[in-house]
Amino acid sequence: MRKSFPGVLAVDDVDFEVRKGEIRGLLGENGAGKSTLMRLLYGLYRLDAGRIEVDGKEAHIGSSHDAIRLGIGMVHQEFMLVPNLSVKENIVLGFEPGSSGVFSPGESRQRVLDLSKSSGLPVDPDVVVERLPTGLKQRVEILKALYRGAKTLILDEPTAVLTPVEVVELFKSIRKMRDSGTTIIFITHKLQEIKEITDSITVMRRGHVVGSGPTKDISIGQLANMMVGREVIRSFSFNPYSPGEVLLEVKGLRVAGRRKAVAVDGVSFAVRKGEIVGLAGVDGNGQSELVESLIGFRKPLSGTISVKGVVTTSLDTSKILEKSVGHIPEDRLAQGLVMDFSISDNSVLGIVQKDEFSSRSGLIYVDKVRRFAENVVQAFGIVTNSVSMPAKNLSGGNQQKLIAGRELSRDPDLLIAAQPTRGLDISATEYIQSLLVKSRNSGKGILLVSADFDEVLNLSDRILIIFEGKIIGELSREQANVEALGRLLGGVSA
Amino acid sequence: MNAQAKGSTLSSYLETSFHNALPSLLCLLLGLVAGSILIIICGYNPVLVFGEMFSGAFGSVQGLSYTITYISPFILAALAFLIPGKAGIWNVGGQGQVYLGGITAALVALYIPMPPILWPIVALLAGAGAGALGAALPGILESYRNASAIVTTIMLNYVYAPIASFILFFVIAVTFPTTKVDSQTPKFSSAVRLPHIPGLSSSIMVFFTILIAIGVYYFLLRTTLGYKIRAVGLNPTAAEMKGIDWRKIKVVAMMIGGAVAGLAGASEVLGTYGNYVDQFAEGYFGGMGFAGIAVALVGASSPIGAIFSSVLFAVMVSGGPYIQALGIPRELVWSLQGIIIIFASMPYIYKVITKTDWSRAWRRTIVSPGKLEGQ
Repeated sequence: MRKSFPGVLAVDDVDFEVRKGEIRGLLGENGAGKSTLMRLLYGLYRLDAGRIEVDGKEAHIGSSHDAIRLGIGMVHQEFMLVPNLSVKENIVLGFEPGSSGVFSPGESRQRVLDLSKSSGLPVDPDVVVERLPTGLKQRVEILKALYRGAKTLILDEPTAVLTPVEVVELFKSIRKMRDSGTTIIFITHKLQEIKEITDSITVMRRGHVVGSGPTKDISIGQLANMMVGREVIRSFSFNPYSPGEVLLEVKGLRVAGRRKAVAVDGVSFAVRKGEIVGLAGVDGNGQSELVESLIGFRKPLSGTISVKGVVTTSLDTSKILEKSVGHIPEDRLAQGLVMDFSISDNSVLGIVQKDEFSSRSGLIYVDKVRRFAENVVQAFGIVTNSVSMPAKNLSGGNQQKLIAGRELSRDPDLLIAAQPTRGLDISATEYIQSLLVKSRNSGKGILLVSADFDEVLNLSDRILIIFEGKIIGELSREQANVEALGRLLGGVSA
Repeated sequence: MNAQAKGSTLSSYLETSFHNALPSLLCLLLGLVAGSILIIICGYNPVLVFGEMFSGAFGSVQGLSYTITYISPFILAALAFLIPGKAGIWNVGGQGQVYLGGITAALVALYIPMPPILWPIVALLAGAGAGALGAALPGILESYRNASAIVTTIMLNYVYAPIASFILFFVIAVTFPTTKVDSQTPKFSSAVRLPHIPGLSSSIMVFFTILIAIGVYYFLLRTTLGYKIRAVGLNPTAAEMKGIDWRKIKVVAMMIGGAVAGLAGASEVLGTYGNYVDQFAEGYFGGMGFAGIAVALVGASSPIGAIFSSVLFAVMVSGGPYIQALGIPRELVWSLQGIIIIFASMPYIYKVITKTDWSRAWRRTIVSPGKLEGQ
């Protein structure tokens, strides 16, 4: 199977098979292609090449309706429930029992109870969904898929949103469903979980399957190796490591999260001139919130942040960025660019009010902005016909170059780069990485937040490992290797 | 600024406006065709009907005066909607802000004598200021209290309009007793009223209004504030990540919109009427502030487009009665106007809809693979 997106080959030549009645784990880092693969099976994307067979027959899955018809169900990370309808109404939604357009609550109730009993997933059919805790909402999602006749159930990172107790409940449910004949595909990037729950495992990396087999034959260490990958091939030339004065200092930082009450829990570290500090960790361990608090986008609960010795904890973003801080956000579409703006307009986002680009009275020097954008395009090798093209017309790699170019052409002393190469092809990845190294060699400080362990290992002078909001280990360049990182990533302290 | 840069901006503008305008014009034509079919079904001659509309709107001094009189408030009301719209905030409160501007200008005109020239300028600015303050409230509520402006502005229409009437009947009527009987103030001093275009009975405001629309176009494109407004409207998160305070920008955009609406009310009171008439903004195609929304949509949400669509609206309003004179029922006239508006706004609505779909498709294919796996 193969699927590509502009600038990205998300799933490349992948063979994947699941046997009836097994729990198959699909393991891989962010951007490895797991979700893409499953979306292909569920009909949310179409194949560029290859074929899908269900029960030995070739199946054309053009939409999720086709998938449902073939007995494939999917539970997404974000629940697709109607909050103010009851459990039974949510489960039967779209396939309501009743006659001639009249909905039958009684029959729905009975069917949901029957299903609940046969699958071993107890629910109260009459409760309004929005009152349920997350774990039960997920159960409703699973029942919804089963109600629609799912024989194969895809669970996309089902544990990401659950508390430990709910995870135990979920695992019980999954085993019950397996025992009653349902096939489960369990997607995750958590090593312990996959070892615990699955019968067999497929590991993906950068769009390829890098290994598969029965769970009992593979150790956690081997899984980590497969997921993280080989030692790096490409290497950059680093000046001798001699860190200078402290640029960024974080002390006892606690930050509230998007989903959790506390996402960053007492983090302290420093970034100095002339070094790349890698912050490694599986996504969702507090990195996003940490970065957002560093640039003043999210106010911390407690702790201090200082840039060049000045406390910036409660400053506005614009004030912080003015201290010669650059920021490459983790999500270039939502946070990095205004997609409907031209390349030219995007190149001065946040800096258009500077004297180089506008007068005191607020008139923009359009020609200067344009020349600046043309310089960025040229210096950073952005492929485009004109800087007046909207940014949305650029490929992913070129969009990222535009962001990197915007930030680096201001020559910031401190650069915070969050997932700077996520989803990029190899050449764009190497280019962005080389920019970071060049910046480091010229005496700038860089905080590299990345879930790509190759990248962290390859670029960082020091690596901090973040797990559940805490920094649980630090590795120097000499100590850093795949095994050490792999151990720490699973939350095993150094 | 070098000529090349200027030229390319101009050509890129012409290109975009061509892309925006061409579908509008084609759809306008389709609208006329659809209207013609309706006219034929009703047993009239479409050529005669549309001919009468245009000759009515342009063929006589009186008709031309009417047409021009309507252009100015339509443009201003459209700007009052589309400027906040660029910042992603919906100002459906133009109607109420028009009244605030009108009544404030009337107070200045009745109670604060000033030298000529200065007097109308101060009265207009006071009206604009009142509109800005009136619009600041829903802006602040949306930015800092998460109350959708689309709801609060609509509700505030039912607050601001009665406030204006209250001032008329319980404040002005005390010093000018005829106000109560006539439901309008006496005529203002000619020193504060806006002069007419020579030979016509419409005020000179229309020229300033067209300049304002062009100014707003440049303001949005060429000033740092305009830039920030557009950035906030298109991607508030990206703007905030780069240090732009989207909350403040939204409030400011709302206030600019309110100021323009206030100016619309003030200029109607000082120019078209020459006194304050209770509920003066209820005409104009279902209310000046509301008509502005339709004008802005037909004009593809562009300040320049608003000038042209205001002309279209003005022609329909001033030419409508002439069609009625042919013996055609006014319900048919209204239907015709509605059909033409719906068709003319189709390209913009289509663009808005497809753009939404497009960006959703974009998210599905580009963002989600990495993003969804990650969390």
